[in-house]
Amino acid sequence: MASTEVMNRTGYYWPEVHKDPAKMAGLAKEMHDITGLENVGVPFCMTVEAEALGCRVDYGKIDIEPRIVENALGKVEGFKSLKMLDPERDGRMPTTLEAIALLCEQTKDIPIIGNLVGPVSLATSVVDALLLLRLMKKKPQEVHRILHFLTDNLIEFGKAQIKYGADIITIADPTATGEILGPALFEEFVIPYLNRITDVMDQLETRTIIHICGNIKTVLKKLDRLRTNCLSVDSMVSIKTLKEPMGNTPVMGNVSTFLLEKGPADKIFRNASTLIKNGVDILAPACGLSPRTSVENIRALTQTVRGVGYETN
Amino acid sequence: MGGKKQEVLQDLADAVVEMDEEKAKKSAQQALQEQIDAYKAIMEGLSKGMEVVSEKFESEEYFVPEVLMCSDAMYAGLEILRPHLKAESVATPAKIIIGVVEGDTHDIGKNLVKMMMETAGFEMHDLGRDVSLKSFVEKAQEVKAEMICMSTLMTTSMGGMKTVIDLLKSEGIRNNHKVMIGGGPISQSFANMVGADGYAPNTAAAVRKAKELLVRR
Repeated sequence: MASTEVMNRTGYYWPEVHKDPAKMAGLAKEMHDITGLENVGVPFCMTVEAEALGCRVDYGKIDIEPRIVENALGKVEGFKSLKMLDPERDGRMPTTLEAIALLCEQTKDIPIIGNLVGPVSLATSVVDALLLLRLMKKKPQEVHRILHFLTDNLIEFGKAQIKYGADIITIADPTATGEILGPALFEEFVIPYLNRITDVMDQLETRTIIHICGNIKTVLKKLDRLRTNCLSVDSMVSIKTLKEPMGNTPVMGNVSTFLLEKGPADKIFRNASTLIKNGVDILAPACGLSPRTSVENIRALTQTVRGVGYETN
Repeated sequence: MGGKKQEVLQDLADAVVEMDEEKAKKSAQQALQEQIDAYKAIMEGLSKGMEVVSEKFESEEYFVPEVLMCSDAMYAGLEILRPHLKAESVATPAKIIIGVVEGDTHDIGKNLVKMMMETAGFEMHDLGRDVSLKSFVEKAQEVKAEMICMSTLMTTSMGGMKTVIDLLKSEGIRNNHKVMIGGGPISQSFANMVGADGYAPNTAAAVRKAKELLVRR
């Protein structure tokens, strides 16, 4: 997450930082120092794994994040020809790893959060999303093979991030939402693969955060099957409804990303305060941060936490 | 119209709802054998089925993968019936441009809207995703579109919608094209603010709104 205001103040600009570990680490640290966010996090996009697998990426502009402009594969048969990735060599994976290492050197008590794109979202970057969604109904075994392969790769990337110094791994799986898939497909294609990743991270004594976009009300009853240290949700989800399925597992979120960009600051403060009262455990933007979000607005969020005297993880 | 013909129309609709491509093809063939007018078979058979699918999608009984399967069945039937459409029996469909605004690649919603609008009888020109703002205007003029539909899930792309509308105004062609917008961060008040003609919060509403805005006088 980054703000153009911070970029302008510090000289660490998108899109240069996406390919430069020192600048990537620099921006992450400045975001922490200037806005009061309590962690540092890299990378600043969701294209690293997909690019390494062969997707074409447009690196964007100062206020537009990198995005996939061409799938790696036209047909799913192509997955058979994909090889396992080497996180220390392929694409921009090494950039992320080096940035993590630099952050480890340059910071003492600031949690370093590494990031993985979830298996279903990664699959829908590598091949056309609609094609994959159709296959979930028509050829489920094929989809399982694909997700298995991608999960193996994500596990390796996650392990590498930990080796280089990440304290926490967040898995963001925007396409894997109940809104798109519905409860049955969510249970069959999302939960087992996210759990495989979090189980490995857990064995390495690293905590995980799983972020799921959209309205998850259709899959509420399935959430207790997810093994993670924290569930992060989108703004339309009522925190109260998560208390039952999630039990003691902390819940993170969910200040509207749109509100954070629009403001005003006092509205953000009120919204955030209400969320804390409703039981959110870690206060965070609902679905990332628009780069056009002002420092003032982000501080309204981070100051809320301090104002109420609430301790985060 | 006879009972048998009614049965075939029902089979066409059912095939779509049941995601059954084979049944859709078989029923389409039967419709031809029974000498049901192809346009009628499409509108009162396949399309009716998709309306039911749209309702099931709205009520969260069906989700995106199911809707895609249903549309595959519909297109399978359509492929058989389309060649038999008599030119005079079909009103010239309204042309609609649709795309996801520059900077954004989230297009599942846009694809569903496009599919449903096509089913409803509109001629869709899909510009895809991450569409440059000028392209919306250029393509609309090129095909003489009656409506431009824009969607985005990202706040950073919302401004582009206003730019497109301003471009239409500056070229003096704002009144030639209706503009409808939608997507996660979009709202009726945003639509009012940027001067769009319509806003829809979901797929089914988008189709209804398009029909409302494009009622031919």
